Amino acid sequence: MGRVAIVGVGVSKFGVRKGVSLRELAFEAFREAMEDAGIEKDEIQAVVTACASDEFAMALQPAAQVQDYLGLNPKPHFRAEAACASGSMAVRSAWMTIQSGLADIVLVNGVEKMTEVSTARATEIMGKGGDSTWEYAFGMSFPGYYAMLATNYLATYRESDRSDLAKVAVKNHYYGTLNPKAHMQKIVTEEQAMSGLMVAYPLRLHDCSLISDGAASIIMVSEKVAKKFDRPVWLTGLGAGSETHDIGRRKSLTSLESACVAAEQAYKMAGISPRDVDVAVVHDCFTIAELIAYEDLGFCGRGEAPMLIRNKETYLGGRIPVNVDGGLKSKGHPVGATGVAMTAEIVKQLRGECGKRQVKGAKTGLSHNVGGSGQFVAVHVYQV
Amino acid sequence: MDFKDFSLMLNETKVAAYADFLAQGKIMATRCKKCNREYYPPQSDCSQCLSKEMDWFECPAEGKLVAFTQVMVLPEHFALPKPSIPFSKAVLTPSPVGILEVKEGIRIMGWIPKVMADDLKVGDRMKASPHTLDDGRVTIIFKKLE
Repeated sequence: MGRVAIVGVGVSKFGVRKGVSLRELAFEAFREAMEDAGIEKDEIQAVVTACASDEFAMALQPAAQVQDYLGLNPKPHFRAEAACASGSMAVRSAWMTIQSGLADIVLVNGVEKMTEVSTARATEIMGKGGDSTWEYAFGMSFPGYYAMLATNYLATYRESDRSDLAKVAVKNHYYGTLNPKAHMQKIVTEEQAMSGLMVAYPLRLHDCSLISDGAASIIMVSEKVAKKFDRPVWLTGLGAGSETHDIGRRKSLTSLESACVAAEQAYKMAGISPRDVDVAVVHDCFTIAELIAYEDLGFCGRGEAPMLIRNKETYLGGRIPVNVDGGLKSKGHPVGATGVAMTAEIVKQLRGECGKRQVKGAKTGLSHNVGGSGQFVAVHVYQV
Repeated sequence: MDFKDFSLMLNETKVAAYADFLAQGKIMATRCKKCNREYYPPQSDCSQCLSKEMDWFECPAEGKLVAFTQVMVLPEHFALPKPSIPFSKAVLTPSPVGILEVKEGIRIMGWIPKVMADDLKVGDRMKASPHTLDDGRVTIIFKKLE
């Protein structure tokens, strides 16, 4: 079996993109990815578009809107949906499409327009990311699920405390200021993060990622085709897993089993260990999620994530820089776009194009994308 | 869709009897007759052995709190409508919500009324019980055991 490479990436500006439609957002990322790859539109043989919610899109077929507006008819396409992991599942589907021999050049789009609805409505749409019959009935919001993980985590590992969550927000907001595409370009202090508006106890405003509009696109190609490109980045490890829909049925509330199995598969396939990762983007939809990700990905042992952030090991120059693009926390989290944007970021890191946020000499990268509160997880390993 | 009054939404399901049991004061789960796997929330099908032969059984009421939160920014269904008095602000203090482990493998979600999240600790001993709301609907609440 040959390898699969990423040869072009594009990301729209993330943020409250008033006056821009879903399909127009997708076009911004698509145009950039096409220019980056330097290919003609006719060369694209298949398309996968990630978009998480009909309710945000206010359309049954957001992928069809995108396909048509990008001028890609009559190329085969479909929509990938796996909640907040939709983007990474689209990347995974494109990998399968190429490896099956059905196509050599595949375009992956991820897009979400979340800010046309009110915060209360968005909270409701996302709240049904849990079990809409058995859990949503208790007024559960999406932050609520991660808040449950946080109370359990902080009680299980007694040396950890809420300031460790705040430190994740401080780091990711700092790196957001180095990313011109990020939704928020604002430093947050630990004091601010500790005292912000309570969203779902113990998670405060700065523990939560942003409701954003945004899009990302990448061009993936077979090894045969990749030879024609100067700087292919190889997708060498893929892993995915699932987890109980009801959070009450989990064996552990300090870890996502889905992420652990996904990481194990991805490392094994790439033939690497966690120590070999030079740069990672992880799914920090909430600060607690980033701490749990450190442990699920094997960047540290169980209960050691607070020490990792306290010692700044996940900053640039640390042992394993994580989310130095600002993460979902300050870059924003347009759900369907997130996984594709993660891939785009790692590709740029491995090409050495990240400027002030560049991890020097990075050769191996990783993305960790969680859907729901762990119901879907995809981990990818990238190498140059 | 009718979640408004914090009660469970159970209409089109084979385990709708759960709501009737709740009204009788019982929190019920199901157990597979073939492989004994227990399910809460209840299921009419066994995801482990694929059987559809299930028995109802009553969950123990007492257990320990394994996780909790207090959702202050509420989903639209639960949020207050805007007050009609000009220059006024409606303030809503929702109850905390918790997960209570009443036996191994059985964890129940419920409201924890009349307290704030700061008053709670993971590991608190609590008792779960069905609770009838003013409008006649039934939900689940936890009370601290002294």
